[in-house]
Amino acid sequence: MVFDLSVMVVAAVAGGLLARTVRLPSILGFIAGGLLLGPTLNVVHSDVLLEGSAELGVAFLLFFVGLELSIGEVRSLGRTALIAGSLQMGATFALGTGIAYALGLPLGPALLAGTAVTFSSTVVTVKLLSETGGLSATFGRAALGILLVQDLAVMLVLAVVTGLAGGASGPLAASLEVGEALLEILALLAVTLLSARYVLPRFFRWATWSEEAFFLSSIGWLFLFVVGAIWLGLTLEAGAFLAGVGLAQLPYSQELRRRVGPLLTFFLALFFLRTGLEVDFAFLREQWPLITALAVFSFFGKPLLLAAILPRAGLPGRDAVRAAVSLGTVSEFGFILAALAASLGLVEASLAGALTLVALITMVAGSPVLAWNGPIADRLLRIGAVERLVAERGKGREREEKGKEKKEAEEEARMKDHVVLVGWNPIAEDVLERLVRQGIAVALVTSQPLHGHEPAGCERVVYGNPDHPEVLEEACFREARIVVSTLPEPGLNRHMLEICRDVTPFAARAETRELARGLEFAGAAFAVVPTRVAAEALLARTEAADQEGSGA
Amino acid sequence: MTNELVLSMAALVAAAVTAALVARAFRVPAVPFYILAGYGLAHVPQGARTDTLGDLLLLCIAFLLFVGGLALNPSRFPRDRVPLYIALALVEVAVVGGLAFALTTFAGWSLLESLYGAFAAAFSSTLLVTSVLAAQHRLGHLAGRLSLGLLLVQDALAILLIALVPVLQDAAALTPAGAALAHGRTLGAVALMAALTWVLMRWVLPRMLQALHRDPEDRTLVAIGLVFLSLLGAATLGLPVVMGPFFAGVALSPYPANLHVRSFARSVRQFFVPLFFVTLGIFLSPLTAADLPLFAGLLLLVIVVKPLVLAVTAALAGFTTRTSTETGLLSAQGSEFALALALAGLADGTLSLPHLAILGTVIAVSMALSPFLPVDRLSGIASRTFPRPVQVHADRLPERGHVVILGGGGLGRALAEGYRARGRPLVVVDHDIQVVEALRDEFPVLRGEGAHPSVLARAHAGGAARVYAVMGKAEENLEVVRALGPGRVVARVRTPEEHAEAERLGAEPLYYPSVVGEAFLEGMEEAGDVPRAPEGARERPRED
Repeated sequence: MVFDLSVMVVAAVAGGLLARTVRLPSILGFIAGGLLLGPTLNVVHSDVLLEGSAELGVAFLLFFVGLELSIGEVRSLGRTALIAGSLQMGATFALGTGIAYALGLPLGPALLAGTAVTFSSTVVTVKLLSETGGLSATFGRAALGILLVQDLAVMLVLAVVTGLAGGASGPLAASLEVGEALLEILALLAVTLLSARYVLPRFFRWATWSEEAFFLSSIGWLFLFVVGAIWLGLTLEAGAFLAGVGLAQLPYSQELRRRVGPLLTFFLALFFLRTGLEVDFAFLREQWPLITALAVFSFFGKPLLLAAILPRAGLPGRDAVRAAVSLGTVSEFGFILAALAASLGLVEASLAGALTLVALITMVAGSPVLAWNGPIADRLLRIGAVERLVAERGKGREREEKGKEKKEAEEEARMKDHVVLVGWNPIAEDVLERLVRQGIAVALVTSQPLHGHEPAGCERVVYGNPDHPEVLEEACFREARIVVSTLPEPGLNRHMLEICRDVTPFAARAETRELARGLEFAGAAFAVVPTRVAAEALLARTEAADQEGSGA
Repeated sequence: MTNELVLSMAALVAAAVTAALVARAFRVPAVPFYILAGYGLAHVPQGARTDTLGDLLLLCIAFLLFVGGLALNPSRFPRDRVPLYIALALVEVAVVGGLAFALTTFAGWSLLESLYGAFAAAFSSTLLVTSVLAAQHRLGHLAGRLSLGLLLVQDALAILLIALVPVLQDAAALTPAGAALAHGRTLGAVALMAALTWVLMRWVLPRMLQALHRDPEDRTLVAIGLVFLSLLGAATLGLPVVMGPFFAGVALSPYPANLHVRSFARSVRQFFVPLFFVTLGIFLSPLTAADLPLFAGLLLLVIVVKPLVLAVTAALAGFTTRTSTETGLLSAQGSEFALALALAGLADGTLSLPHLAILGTVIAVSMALSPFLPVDRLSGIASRTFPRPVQVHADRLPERGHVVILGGGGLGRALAEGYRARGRPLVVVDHDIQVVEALRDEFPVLRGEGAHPSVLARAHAGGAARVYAVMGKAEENLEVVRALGPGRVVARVRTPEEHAEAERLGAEPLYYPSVVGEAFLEGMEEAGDVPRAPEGARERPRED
């Protein structure tokens, strides 16, 4: 099985890197790898290891997204998303069901098809938006909010479907299921927020003494919520997301994101590969009218609906269009739901196959749209009809102003004319104290937990390994007067020098004179050799003492 | 609906977290606790489903060996030291492995099983020793460097054995000529892998990763692809699959490739390595009373005989008693590579489950015990009991009014150069052959333990105008102060306790971050237009 897995990983990676070389989103390459190995060559099959890895990929992704959101942001996402999401879901569901019914499906399966196209793919959207930085923009937040509202609805739908399977029937039983699911989600949310407030900060301050305990505890927290959510009958996604939101309130959340990143890449590539692997093109031949109609509706109709709804829910025009075109995909929930319904005997298996294809087609078509949603939105806004559709209203303008304020606040969060100090050790402590006394702002970058030695007077502390360019970005190194590394590792210092080259002067500690010369030759402003400096000071002191001695 | 692998993994993670937190509470390495937690998990009903664990374990081993390979950066070791490391490692593996082989054969194990026994006893844990040394800031000390050198040679040797063992297993059924051919083919395949690794390491990967410089996801993809591609390569060449990731790690180990995959390696290590040990614990069955004598014998071999053998060999190779003893004691545990090897044996049926349990328990227990060995005390005792002759590298040593510099590292060297420029007579003392070789053309040098009374006598420290105790270990510097009495000694210290102790003993404590901070500020004034604060901040170390 590990051999099969290796073949799949290699195919996914090759596809992903190839896609990146031609500037396409990597997930297209991952899916292509799956399509090649499964439907085309038929050499490997999905197994427990692959499915487990794929599920872990989804869990890590939602955890990763949750880690980005502070409580305030979750709250601000809420209203627009709730209104727009509910309207969109209602309309899409009705229209989707209508299309399926018109194409000859019986009412039950048509309802299922309508439900399936209602949800957009959280995984694809979030992955691609986070790659382009879109998740932190206004439109990305709106899209994320709608996706989360949809996920909430998915959990309710799943609760109902499982209830149906358990023999429950009638509206009363269904609403009881829904109520229970809602209560459980609220309970989990309460648990995560209360622990974020009262338990986690103290626990993590204790655990960060050991890097291993820190990382494992965070992963343990994730699994705790995943298993808890599954146990309560909610989805894995919900648990993972809420676990992330809890940890997002801690100062270590950014570093945690960076550490989860590589695992996320690994497992998520397998998720997309599996999506390609499991496609059965036989269904395309059989049911192409239904598949085409649903895919076209989802890809064009859903964004159109959203473009009409979002400005009325308070999102400014361009952002509304960007969010709308970002949500044209069909979620993997669609086919999970269909497969569940098929296994319960509620619909035929061929419908599940067809819905899988709809999801795949919209994911593939949607990836480039997501990657270039900005230019696409601009192009669309030049069309008169679209412009009229999203025509700004008073409320929208108000929103835009709020957005501007937010931008200004972000500008303020950027530091200027400061010193970036890398590494936290006695030398750094000394440098920091001197700088603070001169009134110079300092951004400290450290991968070490501070162990209670909080850097006094430091304007910003960035937890992270400075070999990531983004860690230095977080310290606003471009606007800094100078970047100074007190770390003794020569390779790391060279690496930072490369990052800072032609942007900001860089100075570092070096353990030998040769290393110092090498750094200065490579472009460092200067290098300090601690032992040299210490020896010189010591000699000068001795000499002074000796002279005093001989004088007396 | 939810995959059972996710649930199994949740159970493994829960066990690993518990272990890591217990280890954190006692501030000791977590590895033995992981194994113990896995062992406990196996006895919780429904704790983990073993049918999915086999594959997960193989995945973990692949990543473990990848991380192991990544540590084996060939350029990290001075070329002239490599033959010495290889010789020392071979002697140790031959002696300790031979004894373990004899012991297990005597206990009635088959030839192959005894070989696994030999590996389990002979190899030591790179993971554990690295974490112990790093925690004590001793990675750069002579004994630390020597231990790591030995461990990495052992790891390379273990990889070769991982390839050869399956052949040995088949060889029983072959004619001598056929067996030779099989061995030849395996060695050829290993050589081919090594050659490919070399090509990737030298020419392909640095360029590729440099081109993908800015995007962490692309770099991660390259590393992941390489791990699994090499796994497939090993399988195609008929080698055990887990060898591939090891070579992938080696290919990525030199600078600058290692920097590009650092964060990937860190995540992988912190996630998969604990899972490996927990899963391993699940596979261990409890020992029976009949197993105990063999278990005790092997454990004794690992924690007592192996350090002794290593210490004696290192001493014979010319290291001082203290360094040799320290190196030996650091290696007093079994290795994760031997575990991987034994698990591979279990998978292909060449090692029985009860025997794996014995070997696994020996390794786990020795890993748990070795961080608690009083390394400093024992090596201090050894160095006093067996003082080694001091070597003098000078025509004549100054006897009065001179400067004695104990420790020829960066600070010692800088001091020596300063005094020579001022025309003062001096002598430098260091225990590292390499340091002595580098200094002997420029200064009068004594080779020996700086804190040892006989060495101090030889350097005429009693008549010196000033003695600088600037060795790596502050404890030894304080020993010098105690031996020479108040006045004249400058002792380098690191902690507030050492600072106070040096002052109490009448020595001048040396702690210099403030001077270095001043130098940084001086440079920043010019390069970054940063106004300079005149006064230093920290004259003594602060409380931890």
